[in-house]
Amino acid sequence: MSNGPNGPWYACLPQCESLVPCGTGQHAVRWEAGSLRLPEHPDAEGELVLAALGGEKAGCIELAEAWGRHTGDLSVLAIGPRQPADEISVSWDDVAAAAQLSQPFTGGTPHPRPMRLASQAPGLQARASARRRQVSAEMDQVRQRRNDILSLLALGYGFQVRLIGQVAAAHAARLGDQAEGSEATRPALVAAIAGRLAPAAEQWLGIDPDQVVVSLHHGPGWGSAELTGRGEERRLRVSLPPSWLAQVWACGLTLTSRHLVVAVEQPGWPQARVLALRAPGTAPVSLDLQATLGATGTPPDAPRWEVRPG
Amino acid sequence: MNRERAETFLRLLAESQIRAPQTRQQPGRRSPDAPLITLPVKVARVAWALVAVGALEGETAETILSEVEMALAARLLPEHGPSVTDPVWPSSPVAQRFPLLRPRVYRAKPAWVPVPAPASAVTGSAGGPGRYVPLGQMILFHDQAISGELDLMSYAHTATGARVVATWRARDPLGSQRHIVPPVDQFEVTDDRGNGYDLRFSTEGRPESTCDLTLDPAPPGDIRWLDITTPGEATARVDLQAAAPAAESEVSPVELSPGEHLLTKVAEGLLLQVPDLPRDPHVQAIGPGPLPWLAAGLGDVIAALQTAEVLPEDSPLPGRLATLCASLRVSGHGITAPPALDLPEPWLSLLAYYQRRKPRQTQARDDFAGLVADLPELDGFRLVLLGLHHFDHGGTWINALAMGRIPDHNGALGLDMVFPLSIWVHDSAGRWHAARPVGWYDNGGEYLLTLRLTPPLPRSGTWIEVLAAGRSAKVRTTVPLRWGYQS
Repeated sequence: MSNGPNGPWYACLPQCESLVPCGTGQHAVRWEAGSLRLPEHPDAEGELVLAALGGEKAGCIELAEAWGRHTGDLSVLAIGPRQPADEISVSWDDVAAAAQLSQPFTGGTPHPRPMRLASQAPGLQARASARRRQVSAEMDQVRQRRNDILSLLALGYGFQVRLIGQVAAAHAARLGDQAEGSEATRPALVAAIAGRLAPAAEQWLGIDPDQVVVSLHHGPGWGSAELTGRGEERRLRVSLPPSWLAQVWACGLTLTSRHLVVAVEQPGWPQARVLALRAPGTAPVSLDLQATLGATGTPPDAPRWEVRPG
Repeated sequence: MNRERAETFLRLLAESQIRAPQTRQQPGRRSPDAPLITLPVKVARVAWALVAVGALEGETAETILSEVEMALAARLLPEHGPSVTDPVWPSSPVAQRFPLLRPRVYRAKPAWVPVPAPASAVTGSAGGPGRYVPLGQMILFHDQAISGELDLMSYAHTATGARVVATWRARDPLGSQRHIVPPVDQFEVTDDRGNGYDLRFSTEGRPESTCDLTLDPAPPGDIRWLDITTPGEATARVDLQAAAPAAESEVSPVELSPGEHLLTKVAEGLLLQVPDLPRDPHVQAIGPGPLPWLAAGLGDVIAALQTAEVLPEDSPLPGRLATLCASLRVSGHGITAPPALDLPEPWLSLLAYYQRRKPRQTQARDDFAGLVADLPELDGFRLVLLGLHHFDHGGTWINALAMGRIPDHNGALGLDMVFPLSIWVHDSAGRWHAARPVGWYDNGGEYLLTLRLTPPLPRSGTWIEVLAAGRSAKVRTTVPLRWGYQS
């Protein structure tokens, strides 16, 4: 995980905790300084070895494994929340129910065709058998992926945005480093930013979210934002660096005191200095912000930032 | 082709649909087994289109679609779904909110089948695989239990064996029953050299009462005739030396972009759905029927294709589709291009047929015709037409053999993109008939394929012109018909 010139992307985020079913009870899991921690399992690695030898794997350990499997998964950006009001309703009961649905996929009929074979040649039977094995293996992957995602969503909003931040930061760094294959992530990052900026822009300017056009900004500076056209042709065209998603959005900074935050100048918790736009086409201004948690109408782990008095 | 822009378009469309309030409103009553989440049709349609033109990997499309489904499911709040006291509330909500989505059609890879060299498949040539002979000959059979006729349309000898393509009708002493299988195990078959053969009966890939009779063992490639003796009848000689009259084929290049080829197939899909609709046009116009459903999201598909740079901005296809939708009284397609007046002649012919409002009227009684047309390879795909028959209740069918690339999946959302060609038949009265693939069977590297003509072909013609079009070229072939029932 790369740290920007102003520190790690999560410098504006406090720790958060959630309770997870583990064994017959519940254990706390904690996110702190960019890492998932298991306070009730100080020897998590040792437990993993025991599980590999046939022992039962603790719920916390399974969760940590799921977290680890998805810290680079762009699907997290597509599935996870877009804003605090974007309520996701997955409970641990859902996770348990999903885990119990373990009936293996038996192949089934690929698709109806008007006319079917009465008897198949040996070669066709072998191909069909190989196809069934392939489908079965794919279904195992699909099943684990679904259960992983449900578990991570059940952790709640605070963990969801932090995982999104971690995924976004990782891919932003790879894009910045021009790592091999990193350009393939551009569509997912554009959509992830657009999906989160658009509702914020609606609050900011009253613009239809579908009229927000996002592109990725590369190079020095924070990017650009301009309003063009009228009526149905009206567009808010915003170019932001991929790191915006982690450094600004994941930290709950997107819209603060009627300003659109475009960059973080001095990160920190609960105080930070950001670069923000009062309106499209204007020069950004520095704002000193103060954060609080537990604002009414927002998830408990969603920070609320306001301009610091004085 | 710009794949990055294609994927970005789909992802942004997905974002828009996830954000839309109506997407999150699930219908109140449903089957207990139905999934609670359905993909927004625009997203599914655009994903399918981009995969079909090669602008998006199937695996990427699957990933995006599964993300959309998961995102929608995760946002389905209980108070937005059915009440827990509602008897339709699913007994297993997790399974229905988050169904295990097996890989879809999008990931299926094309099944590549090598196309035999054209030199080995000269129409009517003797001496080996690739021999096709039109027949148009009726053979009778009858015994105490069954009587009927076998209508031989063509003889085809290819790498997978020699077969006669035929239709049959049979009845038992109690009355007419089409579905009785002819007693081919009682047939005696010999060739001009005295070799005897069994007939293996198969209906795979063929419509009702149509079959392939494969000769076992495979005969030499240059046999001159087959003598067939059936129960209760004298021996009938089937002449295999009557080479098919040389077909007049004209191959010409076409320069269709992948997007234009796709939209052409979409248009033909719309045209071919009409006969399956209720006859009352007012019923058709009331949604949500098949046509509005097929047309939903077409505007987004066009925008996606243009964004992906596989559909030129000045292409006439969007305007033609707009006109077609208007002619079929389909709304809600979202096409913004102004309607174009220059519809292709086959489309106009089919529209005129529909507008006569007799789309279900049968135009011909039962009959069959010997017919062979070995079409030149188009887009890696070769088609050999092996006979044509009418059923009074079922329209007109063309039996064919296909070699080449047939992807191992169906098209999405009712639009069939498996069959890579557009096939139209022009009759001697000047009308056009669309040929729709309705069944195929993998016969060890060759596909036994059946095409259904819409509208049915009138029996009066002595020839048909076949127009087959791919992306890179089209071929027009005039083929004589050898009708079985000489009037």
